[in-house]
Formats: sequence, C-alpha cells, structure tokens
Amino acid sequence: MTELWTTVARLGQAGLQALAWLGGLLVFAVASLGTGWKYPGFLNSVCQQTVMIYRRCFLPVVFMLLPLGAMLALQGLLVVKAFDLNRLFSGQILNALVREMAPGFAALMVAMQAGAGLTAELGTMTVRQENLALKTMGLDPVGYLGGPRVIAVVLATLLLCPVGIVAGVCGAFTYAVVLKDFPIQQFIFHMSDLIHFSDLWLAEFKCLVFGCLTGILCVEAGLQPHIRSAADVGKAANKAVVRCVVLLVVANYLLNTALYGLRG
Amino acid sequence: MAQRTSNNALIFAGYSALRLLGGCHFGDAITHTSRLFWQTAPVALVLALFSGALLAIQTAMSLKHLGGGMMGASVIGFGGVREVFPLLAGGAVATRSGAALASEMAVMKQGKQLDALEIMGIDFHFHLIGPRLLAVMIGTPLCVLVADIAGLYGAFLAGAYQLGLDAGTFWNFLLWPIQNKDIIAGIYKGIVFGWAIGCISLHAGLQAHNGAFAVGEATNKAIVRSMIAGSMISLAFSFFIYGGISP
Repeated sequence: MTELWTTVARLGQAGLQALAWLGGLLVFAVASLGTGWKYPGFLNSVCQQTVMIYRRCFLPVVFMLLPLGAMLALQGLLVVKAFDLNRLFSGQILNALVREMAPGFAALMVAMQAGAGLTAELGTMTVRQENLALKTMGLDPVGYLGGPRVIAVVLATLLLCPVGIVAGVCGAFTYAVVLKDFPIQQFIFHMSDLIHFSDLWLAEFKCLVFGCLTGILCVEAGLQPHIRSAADVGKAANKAVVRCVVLLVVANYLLNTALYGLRG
Repeated sequence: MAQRTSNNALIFAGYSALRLLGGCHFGDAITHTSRLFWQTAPVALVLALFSGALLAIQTAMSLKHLGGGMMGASVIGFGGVREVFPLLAGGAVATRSGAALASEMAVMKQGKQLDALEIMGIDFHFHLIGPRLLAVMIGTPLCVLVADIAGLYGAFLAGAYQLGLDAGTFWNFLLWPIQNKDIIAGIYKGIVFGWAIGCISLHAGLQAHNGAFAVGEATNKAIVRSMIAGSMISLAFSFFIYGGISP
C-alpha cells in the first residue's frame, strides 16, 4: 500500500513539475516578446536573425523534403495503380505536402538546425557570463537577446514552409514523371484538385504555432543560468531539440484535431 | 590518429564499419545499447503514437470521397509501417541519442581524454567507437519496432475513439496491407539508419573545435545530418524494395 502511495506521489510530483515548466515557458514567452521590442535596434536584430536562420535552414529543408516527396510518390504510385486512381495521384501528393509534411518537416528542420544552434549560441554566452554583463548594463537578456530570436524563428518557419512544398513537389515529380513515366499532363493538371487556398493559410498558421514553440523552447533552454560548461551547452541543446520535436508532434496532432478531426 | 581526425565522414564511416567487423568491447556495447534504448524508446513511442493518430485524422479527411476512414486505415498500415514509423524512430534516435553521442565525444576531445587514451596505447576504435556504433545499430531497429506498434495503436485509438469508426473493422483494415516483408524491411532500415546516425554523430563530435559553442555546434550538425541521411536512406531502401528499377 505504501508503495502505491509512493508511486502516486511521484506521478503527482512529475505532473506538477511539468505544469511548472509549462508555466515558466509561458512567463518566458511573455517576458521575451513583451519587453524585446522596447530595446533600440530590435527590428534590425529581427531581420538579421531571420535572414541567418532562413539561410541556415534552406538547404536542410530542401534536402529533407526532396526525398520525402519522392518517397510519397513511390508509395502513392503503388496505391493508385492498385486502385486505378491515376487522376487523384498528384492531388493527394500536394494535399499531403501542404497539410502535413511541409509545415511539419520545415518546423522540425528549423528546430534541429536553428533551434539547437540558438541554444548553443545563447548557452555559450551564458557560460562566458555575457548575459550577466548585459544585466549589469541594465539590459534584460530575455528581452534583448530572446525577443528578436523568437520572432526570427517564427518568421523563418513561415518562409520555409513554401520552400518545403516546392521541394516535395519536385521530388515527387522527378520520381513519378521522370523515373516512372507517369503522364505529365495528369500530374500537372490534377495537382490542385484536392487542395483549397485555405489549406495554404492553415499550413502557415501551423508554422506560426510551431515556430513560436521552437523559438521559445530553444531560447529558454539557452538562457538557463545553470549552464556552466561546454558539456552543459551540449546537454541543453540536446534537451531543447528533443523537447521541441516531441512538442511539435503533439501540437500538430492537437491542431489537426481542431482543424480537421472535428469535421471528420 | 589519421582515421580519428579524418575530415571526411565517409572515410570515417567506412573505417569504423570495417573495424567493427573485427570486434569491439561487447560489455560496453551491451551497456550502451540498453542506455540508448531506454533513453530513446519513450521518445519514439510518443512520436509514433501521435503521428499514427494524426495520420488517421488526415487520411480519413483526405480520402472521404473514397470510403473515408476505412480506406485511410489501410493507407496507414501500408505507408506507416513501410515509411513513416521507421523514419520517426530514426529521427528519435538521432535527436535523443545521436546528439548525446556527438556532445559526449566533443567534450571528451576537448578534455584531451582521447589523446590520453592514445598515449596509453588503448585501441580507440575497439573501446570507444565500436561499442557506441554497435549500440546504435542494435538500438535503432528495436526503436523501429516500438514505433511500428505505437504508431498502429495511435491510429487505431484515433480511428476508433476519436473519429467514431467501428473498432474491429478499423483494426482489420489497418493490419491487412502489412506483410512480413514490410516489418523486416523496417528492421533492416533501422540497422542502416543506426549505422549512419552513429557514424555521423561520432564524426561530428570528433571534429568539434575547442570551446563551449563547438559542443553545441557538433550536436546541431549531428542531428541535421542524421535526419537528412535518414530520409535519403529510407528513399533508397524503398526504391529497391518496392519501387523496382523498371517503370
């Protein structure tokens, strides 16, 4: 009986810790976005960071989505041949890319490439006590460093989603039309059959949410005061990326339930 | 020393694989495998569970005009076990354990521990690289199996309890397209993913420069390169197993 209560107590403690962590994230988000814009050079910093993140993530997004688009075409062709549904092939591919794969994988690559990089950069600044120096000069590191970076991650994710869609379509086109002789007219003319303009906006909305999550999680992980050595920086980057990936998938499920599941 | 510091990841990967064939410290390999599995399996489970549920919702919506959820169940069984779940498991290993390997190696390099091993005449590949590489190669297919089961259950739970479809029929539609070949191909994919993730992560860690930022950078490189390599390996596998060479 005592063991049961101990287990219950541990579970409760873990639940409370998770809630405290989520609350801390919310406070951090409000502090970074609420105070960041007050500092001089805020817009300049946002633009610089956005361009840097976009440039760093462009190729990883392309190289991730190209093979995924081809893989989608490979498995899709097997299905459409089995059920004789050639007409729906390219429409389904674009549908899957716009609704799921491009926003999801663009956000994942931003989390992995830029998110881990931001955690490492800010963690290194924490190790060198640059954040303390900023505080001494009267600048809040959360707002001054965190605010522009969180917004830059959001903007870069929004900009990379269309890149992912185009890369995925190119991969699917190369596999289906170039390698497997799928009729080019059927591929092009039926591509937009199953997609609405609103789906593009929904994809961008998803990217907005994913970008916010990635930015806040990674910047918060980098500004933790307990980071004191090189090993701590590595651990912080690792933890931030794992948390990002898990939260992105959970958030994606919740968003899909809200956007499509209730209609289904 | 040359193979340890080689700038070329491919040379490092090939050399490490050859050295692994000659054996490694199996006691360490078992410890690392167990640690990797218990660290990564929960991440793979959560990712696959929610992705399976997500796939159920999306396919039910997209294929509404072709029979909706039941048709979607077959598509998940078909595409999930073949492509999505192994890739997710690979992603989980890359983010959780690959990054940890890279960071561990980078810290050891910065602490001159690797040089110390070399000075003491201890075989670096036998004691350090081999066990870790073998652990990732054994742990990743195990995580693929966890992801397969979790993904299918996630899809089933969403289909039966969220979308309100008949549970028995949904489960049958989910399982009928899955063949033994698909599961075995997933395990093989896992082994090759594991090898790629291990080599990329260890190499990224060994190539790290000095300073705290270099550790973070090595972690970053390990994750991104492993993910891209994973998607390319997955495509290559699927092409040879399911795509065929001729149109």
